[in-house]
Amino acid sequence: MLKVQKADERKLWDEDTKRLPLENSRKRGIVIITVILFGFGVILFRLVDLMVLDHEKLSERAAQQYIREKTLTPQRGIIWDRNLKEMATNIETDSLYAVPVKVKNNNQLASQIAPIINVPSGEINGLLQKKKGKGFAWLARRVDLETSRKLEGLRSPLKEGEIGFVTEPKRYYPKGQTASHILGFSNIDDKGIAGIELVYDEYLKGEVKSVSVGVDARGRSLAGDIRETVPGNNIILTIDEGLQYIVERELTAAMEERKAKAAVAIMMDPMTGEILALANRPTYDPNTPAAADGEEKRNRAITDIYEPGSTMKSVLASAALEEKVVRTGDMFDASAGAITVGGKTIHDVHRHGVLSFQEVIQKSSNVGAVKIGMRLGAAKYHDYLKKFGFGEKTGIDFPGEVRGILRGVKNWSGTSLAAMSIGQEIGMTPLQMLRAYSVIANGGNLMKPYIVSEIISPAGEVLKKNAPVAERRIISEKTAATMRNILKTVVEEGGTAQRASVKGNFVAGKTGTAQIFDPATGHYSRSRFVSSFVGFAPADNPRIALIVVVYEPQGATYGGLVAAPVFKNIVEHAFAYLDVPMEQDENRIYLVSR
Amino acid sequence: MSRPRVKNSRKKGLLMFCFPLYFIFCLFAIVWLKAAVINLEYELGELDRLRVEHVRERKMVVAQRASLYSTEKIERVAVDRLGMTLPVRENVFYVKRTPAAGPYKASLK
Repeated sequence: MLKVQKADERKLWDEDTKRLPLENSRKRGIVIITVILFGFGVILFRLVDLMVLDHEKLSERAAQQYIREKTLTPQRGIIWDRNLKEMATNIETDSLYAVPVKVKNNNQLASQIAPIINVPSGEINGLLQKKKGKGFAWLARRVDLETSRKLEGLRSPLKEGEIGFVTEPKRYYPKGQTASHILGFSNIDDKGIAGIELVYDEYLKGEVKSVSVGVDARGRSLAGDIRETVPGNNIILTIDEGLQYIVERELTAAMEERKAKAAVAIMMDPMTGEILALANRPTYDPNTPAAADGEEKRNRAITDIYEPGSTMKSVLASAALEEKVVRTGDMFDASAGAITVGGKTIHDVHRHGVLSFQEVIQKSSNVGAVKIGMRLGAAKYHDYLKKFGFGEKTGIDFPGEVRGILRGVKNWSGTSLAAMSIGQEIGMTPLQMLRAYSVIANGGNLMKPYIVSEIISPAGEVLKKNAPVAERRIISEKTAATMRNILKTVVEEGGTAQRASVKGNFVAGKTGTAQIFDPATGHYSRSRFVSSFVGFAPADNPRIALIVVVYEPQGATYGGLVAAPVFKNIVEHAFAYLDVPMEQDENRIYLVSR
Repeated sequence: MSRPRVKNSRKKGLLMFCFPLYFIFCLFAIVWLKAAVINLEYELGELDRLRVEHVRERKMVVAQRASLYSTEKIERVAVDRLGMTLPVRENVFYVKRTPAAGPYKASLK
């Protein structure tokens, strides 16, 4: 019995000892699960709190910390010359900014940066003080590469986040001063301020884009942001950089030689109206426009009017021939050397005898011109002046063009017809005069001048294309041909512009020497002149029409002495550049291939 | 009868033990993946920075080339450094060659 009881107890004890660890582990399991579940519950609750309850507030804060809005400045379109040489392009530069709210020591930062960016330390300090508490302040915009490298070296010792760099495109004019008045320039915010940059700003500027950039806690950019901007459209000009350089080089030489106040030269294709070159002196470098004054930036070719003087006689002669009030064989008595009209006496520079119609132009006789003007009459002359485009804008795609001064016939005084016959009492731009001569050169059509040939999208699509526009026919082919022959004699022996003759090619043109009207005295000055020469070559098949105007030259003042040689030099070099063969050369050896 | 019960509870215990481990493993895997993605983004960011730098350099080179190709600079180098002179027009000959009729063939005859 006892044995059985003991055996039962042992069995029970055995079962208990087996059950006890099982129960203990179960309890432990429940505790662990409870703890884990509780932990998960806490996490879940926090997640719900973060993701649902405080979602809006927290996501906004996260966006502020990890997403930065960046405004990407697009690059402006490229400006090319007619041979696709870059006249205006872009380079990328660094701009330096500070985060005033993070700057701990304004003085220290200012003193470290000032010598590198060449700005007084006090100025930087003042700026940081002024913007204290704000998140952004420009310190230097578009610094050059060397300055940028110096600043980059400075950045590491400075506390992270106090300063930073932004890459910005900068307009760059690789040809320097060449064609500065045509190209103009843009400001620090890439907005066109003058010239083509201003007129075609809408085409040239790209699309400003604002993008979200992911950054880490240290402000480093993470990948995945869109950095591409939409660049501006590109422009092809009608000008030829080679011709432009020739014109500018000769104009600079003339300015130095004549100690003139200013000078202008415009070269145009008389058949199409394309401007091939346009230069002004004094000039400036569009890369540093702030260093230039107003006089240097002035585009006299289209914004300044002048009294043309004798170059006007060709317009008068064309009108008289067209109206058949004169014939080429008509003779004009200029032997008196002067003529009085409406109480005003007009003199010839040299006394001539009886002159043919052709000789009146060739020798630039004022008396003869006044007599031709009187035959034509005021009303008809005025009509032709209007037809030739005087007193109206040429419509060239350039800013600031002026109309010039052409009074209505009703406002003409008794002396006006005579004065206007010799190019006084009328104001025009050099471009207007060149356009008038192009009428004679091309056979009678008034062409609209233009300087932009094409506007092309970054994808290569042609957005705008300018083509030659003949605005109206003014004189017949026959009259134009007669005038070309007459103007050829001006450059030949006996004419006033022998110094404009080009070896090997016929030149047609006319000199002009105009006294400058002095408003203070109410009379024409005896010491201040505008000397000019306008013409085209080769005379019978013109490739270029060119006007040279020199304002207030010192010493010699006649157009034939001052402007004509400049014309000759430009045309000779331009013909060599354009491969225009010589038409006449007796001593020339011709190579013949068989 | 009691043995299977013990087996089941052991299995349950094991599961209870493994589940958190598995969960933690998954959590770490996710964190590791996220870290790897961030690392890749840094690498891409760096590559992008290099690309921007190269584009910048390219633009500089293009601008410098445009500047060097200006007629003014070419003339200055030709005249001042190489001692060349501008050609006189009289010395320039334009030879117009009219190709002979017939087939063009290389021949010593």
